[in-house]
Amino acid sequence: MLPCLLRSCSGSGRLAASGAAFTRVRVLQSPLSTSAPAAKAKLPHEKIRYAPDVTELQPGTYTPQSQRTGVIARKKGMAAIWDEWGVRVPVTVLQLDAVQVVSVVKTSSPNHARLQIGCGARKEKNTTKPLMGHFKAHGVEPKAKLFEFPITPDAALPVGTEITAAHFVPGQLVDVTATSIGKGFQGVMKRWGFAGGPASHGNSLSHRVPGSTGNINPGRVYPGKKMPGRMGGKSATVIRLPVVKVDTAFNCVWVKGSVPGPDEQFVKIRDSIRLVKHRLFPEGASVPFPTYIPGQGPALPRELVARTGGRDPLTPAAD
Amino acid sequence: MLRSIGQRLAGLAGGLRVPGASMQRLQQRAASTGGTEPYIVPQPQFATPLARAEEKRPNVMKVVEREAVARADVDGRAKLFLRRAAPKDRMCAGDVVFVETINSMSDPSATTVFGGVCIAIYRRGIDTSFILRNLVQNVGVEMRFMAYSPLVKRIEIMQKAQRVRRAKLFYLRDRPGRAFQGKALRKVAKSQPPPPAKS
Repeated sequence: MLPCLLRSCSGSGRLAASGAAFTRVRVLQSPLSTSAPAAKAKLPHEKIRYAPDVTELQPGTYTPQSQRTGVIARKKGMAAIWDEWGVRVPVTVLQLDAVQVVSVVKTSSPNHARLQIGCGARKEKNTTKPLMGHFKAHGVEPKAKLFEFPITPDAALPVGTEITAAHFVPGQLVDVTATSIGKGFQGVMKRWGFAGGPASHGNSLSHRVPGSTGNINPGRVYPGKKMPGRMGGKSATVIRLPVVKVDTAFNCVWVKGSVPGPDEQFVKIRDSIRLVKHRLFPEGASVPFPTYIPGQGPALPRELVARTGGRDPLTPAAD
Repeated sequence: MLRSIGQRLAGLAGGLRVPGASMQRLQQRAASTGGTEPYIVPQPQFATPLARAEEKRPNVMKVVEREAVARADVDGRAKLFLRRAAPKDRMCAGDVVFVETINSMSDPSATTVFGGVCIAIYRRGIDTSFILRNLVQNVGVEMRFMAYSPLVKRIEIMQKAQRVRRAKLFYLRDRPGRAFQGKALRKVAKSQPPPPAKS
């Protein structure tokens, strides 16, 4: 190896070894260049971007291929409710707080659309100037939390549309994503569910250790080996949670079970997408598409509770 | 504004991502509930949230608990668990209590009764519960009841506690059966159905 000739970066080892002129191959080159890579790549201002053009909020037609927007909500706490069969259902209360469509994001394909949703409120003095410009450009009050949701173009909403809890249908399945509670640096037993070692019978100093980390061949530890480390504090998604209740006065969605993260945290709720054996919306439910539009359709009662349905679980099955 | 026919049909067919065979099973399950609306409106309705006048921005979870208890308090049983209620009205540890529970919502007439000494009360809003202990055929039996469950039909205090200086009476587990031989407990034992005959 002759270091004086090898001042190249990736992909040009052969050129350097042959003593050719030093070149750095880049994916994006100047428009004046006539080499092959420059002809394929497009500069940012040349790329074509698509966004559905929606100015008015109008009811649409839901199809099984449609994907509605999700929302951002705040986890308020947990409670319990008894369903029509007398079975106790633990629920998490998620409150939608001034959830609005902030912008329609431009994408590289006309078949894929994205909406940027904002939640909560932030004081102008606490909002950075770039963000403040972004909110002003779209005519929306500064939001505390922003997130993008992929949608199908037929589910696009105009900027500024407020999304309320009535967007969700009682009984539908949702996925809830949030940052899980941080547990700090944890050992393998808590972090990965290892069994640890025996508590007695002569065990020396190895009650909670991981034990062996590999075999004699290949004689090394695989990358990704489960070991102690920081646990929690990462994005976690709980899938297929049924919506138990919708409260239109407090703008709350009650989902069955628990949701990652502490109270008062922002969580993202979207219609479930992993549905090979499950049904997204209950039988006979009218789906507000692209979202619930107040004034269209009959007035909703304040609280809508999902029907559990099915067989009475407290009577023995007749078979 | 009425929804168009197309929207109604779209709603009915909405979200079906299940292959044909299990679709029939799902339809049968939905039909077995008997209801036509996809949701239930809980009774009594609270059109405005149950908040006190001084709460300008009521806390969601507080109102949730208040409304849930108000809704479940069909026969005034919330008074049994109110600390500020009169001593004769509220349930205390040591009271002899009689509870009647419905076996299932399909047949509300089929009930089970149980009575015993209340050895613990857990006041947790909608999850308020209490434990009753009694001797059934010389075997100590404890049952924990969720006070606001719709399956709990009736809670009655048969006799008030005497000389109880604790909130939790778990020491009765180590006591001989003499504590469970009072007049009220014998009355409760009579009202319980006889045990099934051994085959």
